[in-house]
Amino acid sequence: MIYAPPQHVEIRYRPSYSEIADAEIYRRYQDTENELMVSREGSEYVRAKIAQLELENRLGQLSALRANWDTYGSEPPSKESVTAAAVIAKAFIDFGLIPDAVGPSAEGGVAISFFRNRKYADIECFNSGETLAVRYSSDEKPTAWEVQVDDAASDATIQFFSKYLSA
Amino acid sequence: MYRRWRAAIPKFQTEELLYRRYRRQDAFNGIILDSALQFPKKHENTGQSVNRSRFSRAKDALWNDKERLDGLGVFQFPVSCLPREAICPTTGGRFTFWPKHVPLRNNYAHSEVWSDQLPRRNVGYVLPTKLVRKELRATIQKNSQIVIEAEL
Repeated sequence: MIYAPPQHVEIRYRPSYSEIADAEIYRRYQDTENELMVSREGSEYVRAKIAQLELENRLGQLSALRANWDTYGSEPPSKESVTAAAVIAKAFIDFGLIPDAVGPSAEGGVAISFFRNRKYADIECFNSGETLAVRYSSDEKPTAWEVQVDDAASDATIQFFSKYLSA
Repeated sequence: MYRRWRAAIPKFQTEELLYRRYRRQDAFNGIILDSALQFPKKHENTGQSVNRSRFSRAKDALWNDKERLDGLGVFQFPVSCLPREAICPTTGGRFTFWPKHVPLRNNYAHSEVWSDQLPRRNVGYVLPTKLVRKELRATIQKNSQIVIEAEL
């Protein structure tokens, strides 16, 4: 038989307002709580901050990928492509256009993808130093174009994406 | 899945499906990201690996030449989505894509998405320009459907 000394258990019981308030106060508490949640979710600032943190976390994961990460022999994103993607994604987030996915490119690099209103667009930063973008909607064929490195995070590029995705 | 004595069957029906495996982070809300698709390197003389549906099931794509890759998913796209002609917006170069049955010893259904210049030169795999590659990957993404959800 294994002897285990008695463990100290901290009692962390805290009554909630549903148990101490009358119906009217309870309702007001609930309304306030809902307003707080809506306000937090609707806050551009908070959304951008969360997106920024998620981006940093994601880019950290991408930096740690090894060769053959996709089982088809792809090379991992280079330090340069991760840095380039970080600058571009941050500019998009600051503008309020939050990427839906940031992932490794099987062609070697990092891709920043957006899905909005049955439309798709992405920017891919390759290990070669090139940056390409593509866009399409449900009723148009994909169109790709090259983005100059200096322009990738520019207002013009971001506004182009924003207009395309919201139109 | 073993090839045994079977010869390659070059003919593909347009409605035939091509299967390829993917990882969970290669998809968003049930849509494959085009960045998950890779082209061969220059001079490799090979296309993107896929399995053709005429000789395999979707789950067979979870096998590589050594083992079953549990936890990965599989997506499919139809042969008909491969463009017979794609024009590079900057160089004007014209390319064509088609599926090629390339059976392996332990994977008879193995096929590849091949590319050549137009007019056809038939001298091996021709790597398209970067913009044509990008558009092809997006075209496959647009026409793809996940058939086995990835867990990893």
